[in-house]
Amino acid sequence: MVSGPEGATLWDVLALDAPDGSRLSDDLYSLYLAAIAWLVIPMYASAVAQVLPSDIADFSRLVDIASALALVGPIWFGYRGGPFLINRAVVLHELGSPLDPRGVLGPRLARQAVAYAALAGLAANALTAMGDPEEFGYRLAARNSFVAAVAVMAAVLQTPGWLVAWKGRARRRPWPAVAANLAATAAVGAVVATDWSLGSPVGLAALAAALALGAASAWSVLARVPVPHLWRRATALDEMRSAALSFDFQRVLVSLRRAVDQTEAHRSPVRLARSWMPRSLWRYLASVERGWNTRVGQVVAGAVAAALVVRADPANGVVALALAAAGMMAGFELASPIASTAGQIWFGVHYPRRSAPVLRGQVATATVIAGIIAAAALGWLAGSEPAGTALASAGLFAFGTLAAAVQGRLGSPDLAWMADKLGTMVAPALWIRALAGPLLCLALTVVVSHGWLRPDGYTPWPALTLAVVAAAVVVACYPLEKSLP
Amino acid sequence: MIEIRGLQHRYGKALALDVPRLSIDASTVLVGHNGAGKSTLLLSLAGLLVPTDGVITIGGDAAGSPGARGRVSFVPDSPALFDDLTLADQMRYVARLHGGRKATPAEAANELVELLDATELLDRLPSAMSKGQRQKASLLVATARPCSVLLADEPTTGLDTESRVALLRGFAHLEQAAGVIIVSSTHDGELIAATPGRLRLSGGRPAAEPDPAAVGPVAPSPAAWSDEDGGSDDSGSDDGGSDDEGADSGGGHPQPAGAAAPPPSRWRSRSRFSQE
Repeated sequence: MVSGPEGATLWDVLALDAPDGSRLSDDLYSLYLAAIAWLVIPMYASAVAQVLPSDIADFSRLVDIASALALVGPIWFGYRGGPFLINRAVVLHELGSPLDPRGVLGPRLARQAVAYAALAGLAANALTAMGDPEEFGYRLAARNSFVAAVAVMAAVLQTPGWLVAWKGRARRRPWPAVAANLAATAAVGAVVATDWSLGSPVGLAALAAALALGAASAWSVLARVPVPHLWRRATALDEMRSAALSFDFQRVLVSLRRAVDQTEAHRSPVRLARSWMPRSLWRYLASVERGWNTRVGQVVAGAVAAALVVRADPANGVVALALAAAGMMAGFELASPIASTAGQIWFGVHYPRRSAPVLRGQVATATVIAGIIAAAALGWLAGSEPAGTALASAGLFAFGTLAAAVQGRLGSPDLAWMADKLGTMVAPALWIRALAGPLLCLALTVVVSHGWLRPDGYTPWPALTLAVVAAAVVVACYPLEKSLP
Repeated sequence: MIEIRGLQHRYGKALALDVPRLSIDASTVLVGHNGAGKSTLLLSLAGLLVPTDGVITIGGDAAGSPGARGRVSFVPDSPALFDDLTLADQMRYVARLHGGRKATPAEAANELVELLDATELLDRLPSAMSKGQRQKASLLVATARPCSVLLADEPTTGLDTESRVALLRGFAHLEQAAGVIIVSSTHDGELIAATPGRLRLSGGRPAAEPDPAAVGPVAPSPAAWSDEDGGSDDSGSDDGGSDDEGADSGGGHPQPAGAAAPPPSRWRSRSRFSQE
């Protein structure tokens, strides 16, 4: 009954008037915008460099380490479901056709790889520009952006291999191949993480090797990508999209008194409070129970944060940012139970009007936990480090947590109201609100790094700082939910 | 055409499907309560769900294999359409995916457009369609390619009465004109009554005893949906036709092999259900 061109090639697929064909011009335009942004970003990032104590060598090193870590990212993302954000129609009709799956998935994978690479290049440029402005140069920014972009592109290309290894149902999964790839990428990561110039033959060879490994891996496994897994993932994505589009008539309100276990919208394994924990306590404190892999990531991140608190100097801009980011992670973890109760992700949850007491409890709990961590750090450092350093570490951690609480609340926009007032402008407004938390985190980091908690009482702009913190507490404790017009 | 052996599927620890042995050779409707395993079985047949255990073959090829995918077309419970193509373009595109650059939609699909009164939808994007129209579009796209088995998960959901009648006519046309075996799940009494083979699932297992009381409202004879019989669109559905014929005919219930009563001639059942 199969009458189609069985075993068709990539070219056969491209020759069809595929629905995605018209997106090439859109992609090129996006790349053009990314190039413009790449040129402009340093001007804004240098403003941060003026107020955040920093050394450009530290930030450059950070880019190298992040790039090396990105090369082992496919292990995680392969386990989580892979890089393909395809809809059900593609799974049903294109992958259900006699065409070669490589022809269907290959262009989409390449598109994803280029998009992520562009994003990584921009982020690397921004990080580099946060260093000392006097030492900044576009040559160094280009080197860092190139490293990050290639590393991320290679990582995306290798993700399907790990996806097949984790999720495939074939009797012979490609574990040896992906393990060999991991070893190779680790070696490449080690080369990338070492200091080398843009023109270094060894460095360029390492990056070329990473790309070649990724491309070869992708080509060899794309035909074996598990279609049932893609269908399940596409169905989950469609459900999320339809939920986002139907916000104006389908608002989800959380009944905290009758909170029951639910799965998150993106279907990660989630269980709420332990059965032995009183509900009045867990709704403030209980973390979401995730899979072992998430827990491993959290433990690693927490260990890094603890090491920073104990060993590093928060006067260093990179350390200050890392501490604040660790604090935000803790805050997000504390904010996630309610979001999971509502079956939503933490940055999109709606809080009902009467949830203010719970939110206050959450913020208070987050502050207490941050205080305990800070006290532990102080105890560890007592007598061996300047008190100001320890206080600054504690302050960074606590403020990061507070910023996460603010972010959680700002992620609870009254979408119906906003859509009514702003129409199509709702998306930019959501972006602004989504960025408010990280921006607050960054601002507080700068303030703390400049010695707000120093024992000598030196506090630049004390009134402004206190006003920002007070406003953050109010926002963090108030559910930004309105009635439908 | 469809052979199932030792099929089991679990969601976590919960057993969702347990079909020891089943053969489907004719159009069949899957009935049962919510969570009975109907959609799980359809997804397994479509190769979109890998069962925990067991073997499914379609025309001799394992479900999900390229050979089986070429035979099976699937209409999911919620429409799966390309957002940026009109219905006509989607039908053309799907036909080309299976038949090459010069392929056109299957003749049966073109006739189905007329039967479903969907001509005005051809130039519309999915975003400009209602839920019921999207359901029709999903069916049309699925039939635009050649297939010998059409799987449909609750195809009448969201359709108005006239559209349901048209859909039943369309199913009859597909089976008669194109020889397509239609396996669908539904709670719709009219579709249940109009389909010769019936498999009741309960707790994931085929139920040996049919339950006519749960079948649903009065339904006309399947022959009434046929084009050649010239049956009026409205007389069949609104007047109910023959309740007894739909509910009690042997073709309307799952029967062990060799025990089925003769179904209507035009819808002669070739299904045989057996449990080990």
